[in-house]
Amino acid sequence: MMQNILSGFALCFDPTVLFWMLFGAAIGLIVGILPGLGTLLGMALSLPFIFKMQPYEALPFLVALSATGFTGGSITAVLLGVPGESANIVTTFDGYPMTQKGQGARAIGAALTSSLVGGILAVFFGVCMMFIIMPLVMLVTSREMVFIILAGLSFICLLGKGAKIKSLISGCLGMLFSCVGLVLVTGEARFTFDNPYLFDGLSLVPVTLGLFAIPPLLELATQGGDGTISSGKAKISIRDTFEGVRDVVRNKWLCLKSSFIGYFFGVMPGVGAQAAVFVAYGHAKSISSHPETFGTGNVQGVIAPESCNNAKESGSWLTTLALGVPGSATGAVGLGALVLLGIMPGPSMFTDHLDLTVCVFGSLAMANVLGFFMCFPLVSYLARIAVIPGRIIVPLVLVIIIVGAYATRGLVADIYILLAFGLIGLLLRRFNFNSGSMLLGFLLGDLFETYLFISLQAHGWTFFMSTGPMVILACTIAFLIIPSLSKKIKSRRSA
Amino acid sequence: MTKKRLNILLYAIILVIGITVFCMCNELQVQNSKILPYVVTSLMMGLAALGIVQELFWKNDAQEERQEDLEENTNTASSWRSSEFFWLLPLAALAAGCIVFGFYVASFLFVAAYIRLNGGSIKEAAIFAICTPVVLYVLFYVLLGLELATGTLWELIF
Repeated sequence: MMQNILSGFALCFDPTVLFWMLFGAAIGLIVGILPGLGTLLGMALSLPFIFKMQPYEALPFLVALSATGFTGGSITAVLLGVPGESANIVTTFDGYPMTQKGQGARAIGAALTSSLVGGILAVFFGVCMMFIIMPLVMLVTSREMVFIILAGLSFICLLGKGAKIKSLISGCLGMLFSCVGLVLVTGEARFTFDNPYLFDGLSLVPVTLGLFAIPPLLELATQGGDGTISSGKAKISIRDTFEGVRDVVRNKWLCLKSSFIGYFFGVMPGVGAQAAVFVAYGHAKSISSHPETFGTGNVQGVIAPESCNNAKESGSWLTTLALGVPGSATGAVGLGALVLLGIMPGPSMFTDHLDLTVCVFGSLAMANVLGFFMCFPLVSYLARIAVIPGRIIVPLVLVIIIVGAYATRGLVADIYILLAFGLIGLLLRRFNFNSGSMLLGFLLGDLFETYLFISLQAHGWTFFMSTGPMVILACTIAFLIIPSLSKKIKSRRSA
Repeated sequence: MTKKRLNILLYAIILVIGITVFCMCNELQVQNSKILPYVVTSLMMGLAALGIVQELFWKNDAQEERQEDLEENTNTASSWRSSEFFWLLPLAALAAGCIVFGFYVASFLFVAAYIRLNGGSIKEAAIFAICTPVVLYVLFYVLLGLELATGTLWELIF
């Protein structure tokens, strides 16, 4: 066994494997930076090319692509407020305001470093807890899933800057949008108005780009041709970037906790790993001594989601390899790749193919390091995007957004959805509702319904009367209440 | 309109949306398809009602509200160009252009027109307008193998 583990690690340093890893990392960064494309599409498009590759070349390539995609996505999320990946949406909440304040390099420094730390920590969790977490994952049934998703949804009330009611209403609207399309469990068309396009439901990419990418760009457009994203200094030094690195060191416990949240959500099959970043952000906000600064450019609001979204990849790959059940959409493509390569995922991955499994985890860690070192030297140059005049940035990014929305499925109707959600995004902003809550509701609504249906069919209306759901419910309540309670106690004591 | 009145109006609209969707659910044939929309709309209507009650009876900080309204009025820009909603029109024009003329031609025209109309020089507009379709072609077609629509107009002509 030890020999297999060592040979697995040695494989990571093989020049051919390193080359494919580097290539995968470069592609991951490019598709991550381009809004609307993302890691998922990059991985899916790579599948036809990995057919004739060896498993120990193909898997590190895919793993590197999936790991660095989120790192690349954080750059545009911070600089332009345009999330390269749906998992980078939360990064825009504080990353973009930091750029507007002239702290773009610091925000990217923090994002890259926390991505690196999160990615490596999750590999460490993955290797150490492989044999502890897997039996626990096997115990999770649909009724536990209902409550895990509810835990994710409960963080809606933490996302809002102001009125909690408006945040919750936004979440409800998001869940209603997720109701559009054929109902998975009954096969009935719901709210489709007999339009065949709506049978598949609303596509995530145009919805995300409409809600999050269009409003900040149009706001920039209102400033006129010479308006810039950043009102801060134009010259950015490497010192600013290192300030971001120091921020991560200062918030090391937050980084650790967010990485664990990411890893945990990644391991859970089918939860929808996007929820993890919202939970991490909500947690960071709830434990912060200045929660009111979240959404206005608090570096903790960048560190938490960035360490989380890289960490969840490791968890997702672990479940994919060990159970053959993907923890995220990228995990699902990874599963397809394993089948294409003639490898059957399952417990045999930890006996017969242990070297390959270790190689995958080693590649994940190395890909995060590669992504960091590929981006870090460029930060001070990239951050200058924030001082390019709006007359150039706005049309170029709008074109990329429209093409990105269209290219995912090749459907013109996705452009209409983009425009509609762009308008909704503007209205939400104008009237102080919350786009983040809406997206969380949209992401989890479908899953919630499916697992609720299965639980009801299997156990009836008393499905929640068992240990698992009760424990998860208690943890959720504790997670939400304890931080604010302890803060109140502290303030009373100090008073 | 004061902020309080605006919020009440918004909650009322949400309430109407909730009632409409709730009624639409009755048209669904299968009982299980109704569960989630029923739960969500009920919750939404409850929240909207709570919001109205909160605005009407609980929020009495008139001073703060006046201040907020004052700030909002000072921040309100005078020109229609400074409204984000106005800038949805060029975006809609770009979308329409992409559908009619195709992505390459529409992106060329849009970038050129946008830069020129916002104070850019002809040279600047030309450089970026030419580069955009080239970059789109290289990124999407050459590297990623995705074919972008050439537009209904070209399909009709050729």
